[in-house]
Amino acid sequence: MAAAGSPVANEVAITPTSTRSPLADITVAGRVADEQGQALPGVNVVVKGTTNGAQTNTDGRYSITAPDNATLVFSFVGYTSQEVAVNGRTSVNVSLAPDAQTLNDVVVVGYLTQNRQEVTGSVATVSGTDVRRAPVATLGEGIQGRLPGVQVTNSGIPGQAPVVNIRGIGSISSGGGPLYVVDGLWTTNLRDFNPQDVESVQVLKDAASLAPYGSSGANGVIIITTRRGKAGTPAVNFNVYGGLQNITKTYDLMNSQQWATINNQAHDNAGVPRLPYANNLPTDPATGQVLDTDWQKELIKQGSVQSYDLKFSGGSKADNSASNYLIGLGYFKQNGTTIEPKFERYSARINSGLTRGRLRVGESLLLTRTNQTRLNGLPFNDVLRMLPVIPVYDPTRSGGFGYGDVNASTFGTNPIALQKLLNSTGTSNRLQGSIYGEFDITSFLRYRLNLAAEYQAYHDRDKRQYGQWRQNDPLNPSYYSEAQGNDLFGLAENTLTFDKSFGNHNVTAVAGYSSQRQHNEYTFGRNNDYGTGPVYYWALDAGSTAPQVVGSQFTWYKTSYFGQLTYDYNRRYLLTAAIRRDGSSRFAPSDRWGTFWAASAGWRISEEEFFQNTAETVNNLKLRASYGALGNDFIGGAYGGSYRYQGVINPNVNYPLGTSQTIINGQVQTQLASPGIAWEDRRTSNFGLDAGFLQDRITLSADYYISKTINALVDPPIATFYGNAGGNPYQRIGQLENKGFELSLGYNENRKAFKYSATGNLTTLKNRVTRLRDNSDQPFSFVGGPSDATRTEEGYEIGSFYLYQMDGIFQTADEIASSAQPQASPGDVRYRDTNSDGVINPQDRVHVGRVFPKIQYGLNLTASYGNFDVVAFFQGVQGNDVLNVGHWWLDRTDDNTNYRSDFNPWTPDNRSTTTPRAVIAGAPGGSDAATSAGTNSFLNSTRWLESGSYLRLKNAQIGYTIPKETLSRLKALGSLRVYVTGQNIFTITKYTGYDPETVGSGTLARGVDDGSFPNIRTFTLGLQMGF
Amino acid sequence: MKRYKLPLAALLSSMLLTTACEKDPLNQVNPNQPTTTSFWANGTDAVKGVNAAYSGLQQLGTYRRWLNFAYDLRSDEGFSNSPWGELASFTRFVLTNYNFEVNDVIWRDNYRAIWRTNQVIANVPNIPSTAIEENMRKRVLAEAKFLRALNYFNLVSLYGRVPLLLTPSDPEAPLPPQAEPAQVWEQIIADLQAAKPDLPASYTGNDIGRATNGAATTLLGKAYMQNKQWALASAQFQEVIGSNQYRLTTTYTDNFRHTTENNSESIFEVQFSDAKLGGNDGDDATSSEGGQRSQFWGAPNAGGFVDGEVRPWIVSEFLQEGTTAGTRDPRLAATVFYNRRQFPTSLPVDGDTLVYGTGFLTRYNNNATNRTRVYWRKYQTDYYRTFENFDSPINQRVMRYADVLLLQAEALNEQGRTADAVTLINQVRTRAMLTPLVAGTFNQTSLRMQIMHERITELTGEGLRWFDLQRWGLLDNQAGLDRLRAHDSDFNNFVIGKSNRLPIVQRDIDLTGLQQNPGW
Repeated sequence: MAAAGSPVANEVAITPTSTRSPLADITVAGRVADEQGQALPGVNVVVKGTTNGAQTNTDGRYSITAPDNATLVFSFVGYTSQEVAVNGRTSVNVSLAPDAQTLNDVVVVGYLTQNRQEVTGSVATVSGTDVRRAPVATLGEGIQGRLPGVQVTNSGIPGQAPVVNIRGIGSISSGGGPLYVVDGLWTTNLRDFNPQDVESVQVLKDAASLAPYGSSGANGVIIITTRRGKAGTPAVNFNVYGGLQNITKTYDLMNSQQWATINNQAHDNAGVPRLPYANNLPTDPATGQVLDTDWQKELIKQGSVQSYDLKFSGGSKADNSASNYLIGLGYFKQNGTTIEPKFERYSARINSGLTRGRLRVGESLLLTRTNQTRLNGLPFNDVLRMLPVIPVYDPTRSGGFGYGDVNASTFGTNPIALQKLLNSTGTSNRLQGSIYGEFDITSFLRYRLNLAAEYQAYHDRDKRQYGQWRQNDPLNPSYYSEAQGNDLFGLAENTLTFDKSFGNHNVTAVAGYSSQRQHNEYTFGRNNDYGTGPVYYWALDAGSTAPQVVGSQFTWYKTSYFGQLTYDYNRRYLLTAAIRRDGSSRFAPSDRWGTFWAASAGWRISEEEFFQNTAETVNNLKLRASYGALGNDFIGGAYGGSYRYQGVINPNVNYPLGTSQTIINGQVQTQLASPGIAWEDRRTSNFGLDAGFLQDRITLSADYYISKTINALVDPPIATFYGNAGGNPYQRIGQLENKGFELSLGYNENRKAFKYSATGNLTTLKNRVTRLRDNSDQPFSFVGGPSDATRTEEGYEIGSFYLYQMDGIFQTADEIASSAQPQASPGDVRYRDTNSDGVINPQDRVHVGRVFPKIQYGLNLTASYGNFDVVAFFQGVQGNDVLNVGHWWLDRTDDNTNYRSDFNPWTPDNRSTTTPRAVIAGAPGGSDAATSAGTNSFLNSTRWLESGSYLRLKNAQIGYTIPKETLSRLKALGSLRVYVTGQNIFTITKYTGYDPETVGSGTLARGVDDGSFPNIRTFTLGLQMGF
Repeated sequence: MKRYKLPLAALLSSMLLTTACEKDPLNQVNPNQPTTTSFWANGTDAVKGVNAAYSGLQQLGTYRRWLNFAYDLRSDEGFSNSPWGELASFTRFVLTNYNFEVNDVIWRDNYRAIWRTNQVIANVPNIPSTAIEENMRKRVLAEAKFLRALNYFNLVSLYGRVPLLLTPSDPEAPLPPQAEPAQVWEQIIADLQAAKPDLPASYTGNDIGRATNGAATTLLGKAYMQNKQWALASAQFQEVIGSNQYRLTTTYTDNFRHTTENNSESIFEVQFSDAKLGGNDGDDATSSEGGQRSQFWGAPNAGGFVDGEVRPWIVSEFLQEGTTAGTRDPRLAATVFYNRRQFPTSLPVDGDTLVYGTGFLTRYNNNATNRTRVYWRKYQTDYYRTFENFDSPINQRVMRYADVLLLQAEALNEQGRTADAVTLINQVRTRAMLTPLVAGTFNQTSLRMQIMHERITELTGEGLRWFDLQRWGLLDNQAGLDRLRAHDSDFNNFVIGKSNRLPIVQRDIDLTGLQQNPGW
């Protein structure tokens, strides 16, 4: 049964034998334990070179008769086998280490579990150990950089889910988030999932692997398996870590004195009266010193993270039956690195299962409660816009916070006031669970029923105190609002699996039926005028004017039929095929059904006779290819996009009438329907290679893919005179292409006491819109980002930068005279007249830069010796650009903001070639300075486009396992490991903003850093205890 | 394998049956909203539909915010020194980006309102007569036609050649024609003529505020006026005057306060309410039903944004004559906040103008600039509170009886009936405590000038001046332009043949090949 070349550790099928060797001399006995000292039952103990073997019992004990010079081989699934020479001893105790390769050995593809060796699609995996190492709230952050082809971008806001894209973006209108399958539950939300529960994570990327998921698989699937109990003595494990978090990079900004110099210069250059507080610096009444607010310092603080995870697990194993259980309790808390936001999560997990004869039943359940205080506004822009001469607190203003006025004018928001006066919180209770039952009808036919559900109930509250945080805001009364809702998703899958070998022909086939349903309910209430404080009564009843009530519900439903087939000849020639037919309630009856399919083939060259000579060096070599079509029915809009094909009447187009101005109900259609919508169609070709050298000490996996989305649902602009309100009608007119190369290369040495490994991955990605038009008309384009800095159109990336090109600074009047900017003055920005028409206007903007990195990579280094273990994980991207909006706020000068301390604008005595002269807006109409203030500050120019490349030491950990002898004095403790972890330890980048890793401003502006919250550096101390 | 075929099939089919026996769950019905196919079933739906069409008048691009900028601030009555440069430029006839928010939203929201009226006009005739009272059907259709006429009235006055959509919007259907202004006026007149007979003279209860026969008649008269069809216009105005439905209120300010809405002088108002305080723009259950003009044009240091101000010549116009009691025209303080000691006049200084409860000079004592500015008071909420917000409850009087009297005076004067005109003007003057004009002292030309003056003092800041300038031809020739430039330096940017219209939104030109207005 064992395939040639596969590690012994994979095989459990060596039957214990009672045959005594005639050469037996002594009886050797002992205990086998895992890395934490827990007993390992079921370990095979074999005398090397014979069939003589035994198995450990539930206490991990074994006994075997062997020659006194024999070598014993200890092997167990999931652990590296160990060979121990007896040397005449009668007691041999062994501790087995987990096998890092194991996770690669079995993968789930759709409704089948395959040996890694036989997979013909593109599948990447990461172990739970690696995921759990990161001191982070979400799984997405834990897998960042570890998987080729998976792009994760994150921010430092507590409780925010990172943006995950697999192989680029395949949809313009419906985003690109993957499907997560957690123990059989399909979900798109993992924020409330406890990463400490992860056993393994696996990513499916090509059509062959994804076709079984049909319409939900178009953006990739991440399969998460959670930890389960193991047979043996019940284990009690407690893991705890805690640490500090900091924003490491801030701008070096000007103090009041420096700021006033530049600000006065900007006003003088424009011929506009100086700002009173720049002309005469104000004093801080408290100190008598010049008022000098460091807004960054006021906003940013040290944050903290802590996590507690307690797990009870165990199980039993006997002939023809087994059981396992795991009970886990978790608590995670993060206090933000800016004032106010925080996040905490309580989680409980109950996983269990049993095998009895031909029946297997298992269950997986997660209950969580999260509490979150949200971040309001874009404080990382506002700290740049607020002036150092404005105090944070100003008791003369309503609400008690300082903000701009005629003396120190800015339209920036006091970010402290915004956090303090508006308290926005959310709680969420979530259940994610699944139950399966599997029955072997015959030895080769089994039936499985999988039932899964996700239920979330959330409650959001906004408490808005009286007071102002920005110049020129109307005086809003205090208000209070509550939003409550719940979301129930259910999934039922019936599958029948046929699995049989006919000689060298091995066949597995699955047929199934599934249905999915999601139901969402939402209510919102708001009331106004809660007085002016300082005591507020935050109940909806307590407001005094104009209460508002909103509510809605929606349901969508999906029915699917599917089949999956794998066939191989002698484990050498591999074929798979999958088909899935999905019907979605989101589409009109005529467009409702879509059929998705894929086929793949693989050739394990290393299994060929002619290859056996090189098997010592190249133990595995496989070529594979796949092609298939996937769909997508996720579209945005009201009610989760559930009813977009139907024209609907807006039930609240109201109007006050009558002497008492009663609000009378009006109803009418206000948004056009999308009658023609149907499945998006994403087609992917994948070519791959897997190789293993030197008994898999070196492993290599490479993939090249071309993924094309045709009939992409796009909601292009339509003429305004149709009067459409809300999103425009969807049409199936887009085509997109994602192409890329993915490489994973590892070296793993665990034969000696000093164990080490290096695993690197590299991904390239090219995203392009290949068509964006209907059959007859001219192409469409979509703009995105602030000042329409991006444009999505045919021939370019989604969200491609579309900018004026800065071409230096005018130094002389002669240069100006011969330019396309006759109204410019020396010191102004020169832009490239790209169409050479003699004027600089919007037609001179061009596509420039790159949104998607040319390369993203990760490098994981591990080493262990004795009781020490070390891990370092580097991650980075190369070849993309970021539009730095923060930089624009600081350097634009037409608007009053603070400036960088090394900001040195052009003056006749300082002829900068990169920084134009400072000119405030508001110069008298028609003057050159008025023009300069406008053109010098174009946000949509290359002046603000910076390289987004970075290399980051994402994670490093040093651990020490306390020796057993030391621990034995502490009777309660079975094992103890102490470790120190750092996250985002250092970053090498030329980017001048807070963080080059930006979550962007939506799909159409993902390269725009508009006040993104930077990633944070974390150092934690942790303990792993076994009892 | 063969022998397992039957049980396998049986098992599969039984699995299917257990889940497939209910009604096809793929047919999900939206539980929140009627569909366009299920709506328009009865009289209730018809009324709700036309209510929604009224709501089209309360949007940002209609009377809630931007239409006031396009009319009052682009005329020589007002101007903008908004720190939002593009907005200020818009009121100064300078616009480089034709998709500029204000231009875009005015265009957009008028067409959104038109789509609503077109839905009513297309669907209500198909409601079975068993489900709707015939009179109600007629009234609803007439209301919709009135509203469609009002929206096109605004569009043609602002943009000239506009697409004429008369059926519910359908992007898949052939493009609607870009109509000549004359065609648009024809449609407006046709809609109003059709609407008039089916609209009641007045309403009761919660129907007060809907379009009346008087509203349609007045708007029809105005349409004729803008086309200088004086006889046709005065016939309409005579109907209004002769109907005895309307009379001037005793107190001038009753026309600009939320406490005296839909009064005897009111012919048609866009209804606003602050019941949805803090609500969003647009149309959903939480949307604001309030106006925003008072927030945007409010005086400084009193919660206003001061995006709109009054040209000082307006004040001087009021100060040309005093009341019979020798005081300043009471309409002046009702129209503007101003420094009453700033303007040279022989009339005595009257009581201090309170700016949101504080005397003008007290409030602006420390600011020499603010002290010399003239701020809007008409439609401001200072009479009952000390701040402004985005939800002003004051209805905007689109048409009121004083305007009808002055328009009729103008129409009669243009037809040579100067003496008849004077009588009508005197009704308006008397309320303002001014000495009545003496008919014999005016000829047609001098009364024309007098009417211009009367319209300033009575109607400034009511969105009417722009129509007056168009009708009087002041925007069409250098002489007229020179007069305006003397009042308002913004007109230095005005280009004859171009600036009398706004540019058509560039997006629609790009998408459908509409022709841009001349000069833009």
